[in-house]
Amino acid sequence: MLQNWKISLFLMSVVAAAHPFYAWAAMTSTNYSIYADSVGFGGSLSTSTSYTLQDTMGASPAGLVTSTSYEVRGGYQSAEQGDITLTLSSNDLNLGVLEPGAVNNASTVATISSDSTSGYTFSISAVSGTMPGDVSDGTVSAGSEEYGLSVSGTHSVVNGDVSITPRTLGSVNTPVVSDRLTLTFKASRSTQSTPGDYSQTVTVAASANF
Amino acid sequence: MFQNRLVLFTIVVGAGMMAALTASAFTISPPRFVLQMNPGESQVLRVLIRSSESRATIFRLGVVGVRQDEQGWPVFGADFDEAVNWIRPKIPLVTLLSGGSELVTFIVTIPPSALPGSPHYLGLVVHRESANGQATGLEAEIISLVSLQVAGVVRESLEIRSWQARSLWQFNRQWPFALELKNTGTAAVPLTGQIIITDSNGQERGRFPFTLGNRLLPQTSRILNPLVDTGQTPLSPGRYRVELAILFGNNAQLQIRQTTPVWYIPWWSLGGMAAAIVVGGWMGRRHLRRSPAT
Repeated sequence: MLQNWKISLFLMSVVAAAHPFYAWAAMTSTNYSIYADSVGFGGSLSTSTSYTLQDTMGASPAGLVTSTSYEVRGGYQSAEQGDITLTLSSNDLNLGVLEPGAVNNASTVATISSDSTSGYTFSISAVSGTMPGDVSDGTVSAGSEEYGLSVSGTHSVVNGDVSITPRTLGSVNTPVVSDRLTLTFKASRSTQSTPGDYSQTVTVAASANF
Repeated sequence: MFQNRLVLFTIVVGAGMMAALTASAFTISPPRFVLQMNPGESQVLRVLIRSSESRATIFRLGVVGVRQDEQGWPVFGADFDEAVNWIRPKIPLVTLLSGGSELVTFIVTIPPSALPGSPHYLGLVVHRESANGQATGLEAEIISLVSLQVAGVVRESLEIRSWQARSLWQFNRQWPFALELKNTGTAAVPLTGQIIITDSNGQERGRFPFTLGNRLLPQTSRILNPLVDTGQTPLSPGRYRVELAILFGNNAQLQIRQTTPVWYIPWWSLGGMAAAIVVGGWMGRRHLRRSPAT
């Protein structure tokens, strides 16, 4: 029994020695409070008549700022050379008559060319009209009332099916020629869905980046 | 019953069902403007529109405010910036024949009361109107970005809000980090960065260029998740200091740095450690058995 206890103590010592000790701690005194300090692996206690400092090694404080000021004078204008072109393969999309147990799709291809050195961003800038429930779980599923959009293409920033609200659909930080994004609108309904005609107008916008 | 009724449940993205399926294509130039203006001053901005539509098309001109989200992408909104009211198109609508082009004018007037040194970010909107003025499913617009700085003293300042490894313990060569930056100045700043790995002896073990994206607008945060691949860097198990160094500013002369610790413990070293513990335990037990009982 005594031997087992000693062996356990030995193993615990080995494990403790193999893992370096570190700790976080908030520092306070009557005159100051540091909300959160950094992880430290060593250091020393320094003292004087007017202050006490516990320094740390191996970590820098957060929130370093470097700044400089200069004067901007008026009367200057510059324009970046080049074009942005936006082409939509179709402006009208019809999702047809929805039946329970099916997901209806309709697609259009947006082709964007940008000479800007900052590339382009393609986004939904405005939405109007009334539609059934937005997709919220990443997939427009048959049998439930959902409406959403997926975007495919090299520079798509959309994962899965997303709701159709103002959002970024694609972006790249370099000039591109005829970059294609396929927008697939999807809708499904449940047996409890309210019958009717639904329509929506979606405004898509292309711009450079800053 | 609901299921027995003839249910017409259609969804159309747009009301222009009767219109033939048409492609839209147009071009604007330039993509971006940079302006520096005095309070009370006026300037003229010119945007070239070229139509590749198959028929005569109306383009509506407008102005929006622009912000930047945490990924660095522009976001548009009419109420984002008071300076939306400082710019107006000379004419609101332009009709172009197929293949036609026109240079349109926007007039910028800075009010005398504008705050010196204040930055403003705007978009000149060229919106393609659908045929007969009827909305179609997909409306298209192209926006030329405007960076407008009112003359005065401006300040370039950048703050690293957070720089840390996703985990203090890294067991493979792909080290993920979390970074949050904030532009605390009054001017947009371009950014370049690199990540420097230093061992516990202070010896540099590797440098990794790091893309921080486009210019960061004032009072805007950016959140990035860099992944450092140390696969080509000789590393032994132990503690490392990972430093983020960022050069920023229009002259790229300002530098900001911050470090975070990482313990690199590869799986093979964990196996070795486990083996050492087993062997140590076995040897200790053997030693205790050989010792005479007291």
